Amino acid sequence: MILFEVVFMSSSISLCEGHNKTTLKSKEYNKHKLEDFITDDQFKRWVLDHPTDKRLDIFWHNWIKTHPQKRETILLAREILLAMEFNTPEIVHEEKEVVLEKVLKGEKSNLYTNNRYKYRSNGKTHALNWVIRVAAIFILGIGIYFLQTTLINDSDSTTAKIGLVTKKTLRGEKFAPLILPDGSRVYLNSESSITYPESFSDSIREVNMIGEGFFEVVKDEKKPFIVKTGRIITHVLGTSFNINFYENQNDLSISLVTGKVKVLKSQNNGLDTTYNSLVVLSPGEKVSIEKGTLDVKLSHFDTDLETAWKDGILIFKNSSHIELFNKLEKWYGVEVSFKNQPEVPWNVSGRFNNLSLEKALENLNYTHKISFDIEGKKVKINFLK
Amino acid sequence: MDRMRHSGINENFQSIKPEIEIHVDKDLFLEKSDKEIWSEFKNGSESAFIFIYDTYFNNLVAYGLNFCTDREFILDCLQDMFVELREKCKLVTYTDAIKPMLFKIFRRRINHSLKKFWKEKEKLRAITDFKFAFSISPEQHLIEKQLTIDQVKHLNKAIGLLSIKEREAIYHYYYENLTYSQIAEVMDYSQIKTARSLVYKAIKSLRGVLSNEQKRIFLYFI
Repeated sequence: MILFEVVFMSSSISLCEGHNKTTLKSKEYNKHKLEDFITDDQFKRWVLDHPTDKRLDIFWHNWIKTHPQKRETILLAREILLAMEFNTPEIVHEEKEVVLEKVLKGEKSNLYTNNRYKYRSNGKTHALNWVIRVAAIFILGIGIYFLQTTLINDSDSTTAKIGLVTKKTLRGEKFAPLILPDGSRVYLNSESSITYPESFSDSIREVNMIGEGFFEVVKDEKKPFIVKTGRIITHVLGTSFNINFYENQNDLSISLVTGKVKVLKSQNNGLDTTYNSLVVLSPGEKVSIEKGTLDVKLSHFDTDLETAWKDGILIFKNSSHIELFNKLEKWYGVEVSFKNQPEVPWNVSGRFNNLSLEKALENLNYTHKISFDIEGKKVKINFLK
Repeated sequence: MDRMRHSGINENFQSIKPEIEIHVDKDLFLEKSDKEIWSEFKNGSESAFIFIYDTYFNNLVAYGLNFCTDREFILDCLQDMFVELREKCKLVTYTDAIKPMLFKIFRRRINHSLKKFWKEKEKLRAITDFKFAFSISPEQHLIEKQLTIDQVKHLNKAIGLLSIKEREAIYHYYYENLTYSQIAEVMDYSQIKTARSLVYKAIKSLRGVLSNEQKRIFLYFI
């Protein structure tokens, strides 16, 4: 840090690499080509690690101002850096605990004792089991109509039962991986809640949910897994899926990524409840169900757009500024107020990959000029012409 | 990233317990430097070990799977590495950067175990064809509006032509945020400039794709 300061005072840039330090005069950036910027430690740090570091930020903004001929190159370098995406494998949470247990016992793997790799003839590996465990992914959204008419009644009638567990997330909270009694996993998005029994019965696994959740259901054909969202019931046979059931949304949608789910509606005729199948979904299909009529509309959907939130990625496509900031409010748990709202709504698309609110707004500022002020949970946005 | 995800949120889910709980007050370590944490581990601190394990487990698995797609094998290698680290903690060298240190040890162990335990035929099947894959996401293009869709396609084609070593260096530099000297250490290069020129050459060849593209458009207009 001290090095940093000194370097800035002498208006030169330092590439610091432990024991190897080279100091570049900042004017040498004049000669920088695209690849020089992308591979420059100082530049990379500004774009990827510390876009909010004031000194770094001021330095680069000033530099761009005084070298307008390099502006395009810098913007392109920035974009390439931000757009780099690395293939990352699925994270299986159990693995970490299972391996740790063995490590703490000082237990070595059976690589040495059992030469399974030398003699195994059949190509199938145990790794496949992880794939089999999770059979489907779907997404579900539902509106207030269902909530008021049936879910409340439902939960009234079940409160008498013992051992119901309810979990809630507040505004701005997300990514909570809950483990259900059968080992299935649920990621709750913000402002969501889920209710389930402490242990499932022998015949069925039933949960109630409001808000949005991503489910990874352990396959168990003898015990169907069902998610109740008001009058709509999603019946799963070993699957992972995402449910979205917010009060301010008027319709319900279920999107299936892999596996198979059946969507049913329940009808309460006084004493009896009957169930009718609405639709069976195949991977890549999304069904929207209208709140009043229960009209069904089938379409295809963008997997990324629907499930990215569980990995901390906020995606928006062709959103107006109002839609965008509504999303940011919910995502970061803040309240946004506007000043000088634009007459023509924005049309923005993009993604924020695990960014802080400040970082996200700064990123936004590159394409849409705004100034902002974050005070605790209140965010003031001033749209600049 | 993982540190962030685990903080705060889980407080609302106290009744949900994993089978083994990791009883480490992470705040104790978040303030400390790698050097301090590592020397506490060397002095036999169990919680320092668990903190290290917990912090780098996912990075190590992700890194290892670039060498071999057999998840079980990679987990076995990792288990053995951690067991040995704990057994020999006194003998391990000091470090002020834990992640590259673990990468280096893990990288050697995987390569050694692959040689030792895998038949050639099996190796061909499970060793990844496309190690350290990365791409330029077309989605991001929508924010910055600098690259065209065609350019993104060309870039991704060019990325496929990079050598495995170049891609590994890029993985360390941009994804794991290692410095050039740390990359040299992990990849067993005696000179830092080898690591730097791997990254530089790779990026330069990508730039080449973009400027060819520009030339082509230019010619088209002529």
